[in-house]
Amino acid sequence: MAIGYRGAMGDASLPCSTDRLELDALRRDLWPRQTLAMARGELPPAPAEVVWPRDAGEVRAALDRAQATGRAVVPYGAGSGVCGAASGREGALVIDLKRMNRVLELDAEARTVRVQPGLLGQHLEDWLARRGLMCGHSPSSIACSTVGGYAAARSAGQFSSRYGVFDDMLLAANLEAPSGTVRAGAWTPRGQEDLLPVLCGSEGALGVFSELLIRVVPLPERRWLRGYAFPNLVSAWTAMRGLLQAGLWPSVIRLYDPLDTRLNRSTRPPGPAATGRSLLSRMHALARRTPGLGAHLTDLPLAMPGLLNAVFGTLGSEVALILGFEGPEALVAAQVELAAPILEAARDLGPGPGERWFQHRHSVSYKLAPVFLGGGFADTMEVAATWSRLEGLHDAVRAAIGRHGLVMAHFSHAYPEGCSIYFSFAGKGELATYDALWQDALQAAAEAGGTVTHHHGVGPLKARAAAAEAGAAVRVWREIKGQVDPDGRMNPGRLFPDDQPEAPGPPPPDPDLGPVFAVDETSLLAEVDPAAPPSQVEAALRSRGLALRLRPDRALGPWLVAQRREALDSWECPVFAVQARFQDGASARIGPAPRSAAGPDLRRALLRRARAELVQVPVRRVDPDRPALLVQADPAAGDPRELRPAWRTPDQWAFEPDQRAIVEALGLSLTPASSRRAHGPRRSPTAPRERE
Amino acid sequence: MSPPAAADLGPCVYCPRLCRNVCPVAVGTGRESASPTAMATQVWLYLEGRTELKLALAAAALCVECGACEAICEVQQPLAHLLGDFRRALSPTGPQPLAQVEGEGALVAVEVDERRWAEALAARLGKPVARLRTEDHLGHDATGQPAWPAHLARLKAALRGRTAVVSEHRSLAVLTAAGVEAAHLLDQLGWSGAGVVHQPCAGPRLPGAPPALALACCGSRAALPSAHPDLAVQLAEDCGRRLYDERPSPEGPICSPDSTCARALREAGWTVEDPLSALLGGAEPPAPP
Ligand SMILES: Cc1cc2nc3c(=O)[nH]c(=O)nc-3n(C[C@H](O)[C@H](O)[C@H](O)COP(=O)(O)OP(=O)(O)OC[C@H]3O[C@@H](n4cnc5c(N)ncnc54)[C@H](O)[C@@H]3O)c2cc1C
Ligand code: SF4
Ligand code: SF4
Repeated sequence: MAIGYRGAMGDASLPCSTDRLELDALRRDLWPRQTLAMARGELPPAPAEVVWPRDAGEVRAALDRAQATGRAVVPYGAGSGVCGAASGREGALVIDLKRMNRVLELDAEARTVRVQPGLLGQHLEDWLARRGLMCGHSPSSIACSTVGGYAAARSAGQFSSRYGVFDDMLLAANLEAPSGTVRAGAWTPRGQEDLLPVLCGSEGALGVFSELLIRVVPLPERRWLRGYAFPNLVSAWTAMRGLLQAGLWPSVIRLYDPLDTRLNRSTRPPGPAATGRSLLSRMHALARRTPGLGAHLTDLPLAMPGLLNAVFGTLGSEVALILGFEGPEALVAAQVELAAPILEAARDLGPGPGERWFQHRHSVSYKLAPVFLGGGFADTMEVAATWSRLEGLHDAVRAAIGRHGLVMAHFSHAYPEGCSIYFSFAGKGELATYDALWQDALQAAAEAGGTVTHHHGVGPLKARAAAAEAGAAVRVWREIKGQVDPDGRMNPGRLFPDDQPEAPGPPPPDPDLGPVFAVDETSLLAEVDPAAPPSQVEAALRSRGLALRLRPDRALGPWLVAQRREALDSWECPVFAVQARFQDGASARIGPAPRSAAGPDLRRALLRRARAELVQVPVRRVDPDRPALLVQADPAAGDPRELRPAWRTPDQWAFEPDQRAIVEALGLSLTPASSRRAHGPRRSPTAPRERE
Repeated sequence: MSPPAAADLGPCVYCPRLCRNVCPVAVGTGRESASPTAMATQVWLYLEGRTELKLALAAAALCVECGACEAICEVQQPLAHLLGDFRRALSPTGPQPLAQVEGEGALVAVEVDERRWAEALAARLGKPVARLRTEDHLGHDATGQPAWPAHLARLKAALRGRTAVVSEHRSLAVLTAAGVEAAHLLDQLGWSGAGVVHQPCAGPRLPGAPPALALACCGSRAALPSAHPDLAVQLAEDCGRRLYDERPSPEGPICSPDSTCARALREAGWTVEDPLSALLGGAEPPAPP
């Protein structure tokens, strides 16, 4: 039975319980290792107490209570995390946030919504849809995860290529921490450091999100989806990269490897819908229908994964890509036209595969249970890298997983600079096999230069791998954690373990090469001197036919430090890798992929605390003979936040020369181009708004 | 009746909680224990011999058997039935003995609480109305008990040749199962709830009414009020808040076609219209016994 006690703040009675029914339910999140252990008769530990706060004041009261009783605190959203970050901890106080599930305020003009953290993603989208809006954040777990969980574990949804990952949508947050309230992002008090990038991905180890301000967009007027078959992965990657680097913003760009392509029958002509059933669930169904065959059907392949992976490897190399554009009708039509030449090498499969995927896009989650019921385990690993490293990363991780389990992959979060790889795998149900698989896979990902997690977060599963990825930058985390949670009460030990030795960092870049130390032409990224004036950087890039994508008004180092997310009114990634050196000579290089969920984003905080040696920033190809298309700003043609010109001022928008179809489709009138303007104004609305 | 087997619950135990967003108890209480997966897991653990019956029954009693999870489940898991069957098999309380039909008339008012409205309906319609009193919604929560088929047969015999008029949906479900002709009071009164309409769990939608809010359970169904009275109140509070927030206009009323739900919502402090209160002159119902 629930009891209430007086909160330390005011006299509100804070609902709480020590009842076993309540505590049992908080033993596990959705880390498959725990599911497997449960199937084998073990249960993760139960916490000691649970509270259900209704507002920030009650969260504070709960933190005060933990302080008074000396308990560790585990914030709990919907427990859909797959890495164990919210799982049961003996003696802990769980703050279950699902009663904080209210939409607090919608600002339709600014296109923001203020919400409590325990709101389920699906409920937020339902609420917004009734008002013609959406966040565009659609993880497969949308029905069973909370917005606070998205921020805490740096979630990414199925439409991330157009709307960004959750980090990109989150404009401000309040976090209740043991030392007090942290106001971040757009709510950062003047003169204070904006800690929003560090709060995102903090996985409950700094405090409890109590309020979030999220970017919203109008529901799309048109949604276009189509399937394409490519002869092999490499040709499909080239097309994906081509689409994204041509300044198109697909809402969906999903590529399936040959096995996944076959299982989903994605390249076949339209027939009965393939509802995304996995190989194992089909085997399971067959086993049920054929008792003699029984469990062997599921047991056998899992017992011999190497053989089966090899057999599947011979099935052919054809792969399926699902491409989608959405937004204003004219813009969609123009993007489809611009995409056509890039897709020339592909076989057009028509709208069927895309529409089928859209209809069944959350069904994939039902695939898990049959595998566990059949005595095996199923799990997923999502890594990411720049385009230039993608193939190596794919081959290395696939080989590592394939030694222990049956593996297939798809590529679903793509950016101009790189892409994530989502491996699905299943194995025979032994914990030792599970652990060995993960250890090998994480090591392979790190060695291949990728991030160990694109969007599932860290938890005990990846704590060491994430700490290794951060290297000496973990010091930045520890400093901030020490200020915000001085007693180490918040979800201790799960994010970056305290006992891990610091990995040695890279040497400084060769100053003679500056201001542009290296260019990754495939991924369109340049490693530049953060202290060099932008004009020098631009000149050095121009000699290689490149230009900076964003337009700093001072050296990149200080510009990036001052950069604030809410200043970008549609999402863009201003910085990739960052390298900096601490006073004691230790260095750290972080940011191996366009997007990562390997703990918080420490890049800006690192630039503030250590001497920046190198920043890797996005660039675009420029041709002096083909200047940018400058047009008169025309709100009647559409909201520029939807149209996404390359840059804009209040009275002018600029599109890339290849985007002429967009300009024409929108009926925009070109202004006479000047060569200075063709490279964009020095200061644009996307430059940082300084408040620090 | 026998309880389900552990294996029957397997799909829910290993499910990543994919129906938690439609479960009114999970959403209304915000408790992890009330997610359909957690309820199923607790019962599964008991059936596997790994936990106590008391806990499993408490978990199963959280389910109001609205069927929302079953409706969206892509693997067609009959979770509402499994949890209900488990509860009924292990804490059997058969249907209470049927009362006598009192009075004459082709219509019989089914009175589920202390409110007596047969006379008011008779006055409104200008014809005699008999009454049938019940304290357990005509045995609604005993579905599937061994005594259930005989109970339905008795009910059918008692009401042969008459039309039962109900003010809520649980007895309507039992009458339908028994094959008795039944009508809802709202049709007799021509009552159409304007404003935002509470959708009673598993109850039919009010004809012509504005869209109802699916996720709003008032907590008055199945074993929840007796097993978890504090949560039942919390659900009613939350349900009322959701309905209130979704009213199409600031003046729009909250309506419920089900008088039992309306009472639960009123007890949580919300002003709610329902056909029975309308029939009784809009007067607030008397306090519960
Ligand atoms: C079937 C399935 C599909 C999935 N698909 C996707 C997908 O497509 N994309 C994706 O990104 N992820 C996906 N996930 C992973 C998961 O849904 C995300 O990690 C999600 O962000 C977790 O949210 P949650 O509310 O369930 O958080 P929880 O699991 O409850 O918690 C996750 C972490 O965040 C912390 N936390 C939660 N709420 C707060 C808060 N308010 N304040 C501070 N800390 C908090 C917890 O302490 C924990 O460390 C999937 C998971 C499953 C099971
Ligand atoms: S009813 Fe279906 S969706 Fe709900 S928990 Fe069970 S298997 Fe999952
Ligand atoms: S039947 Fe209704 S109350 Fe019961 S678990 Fe399903 S959705 Fe929840």
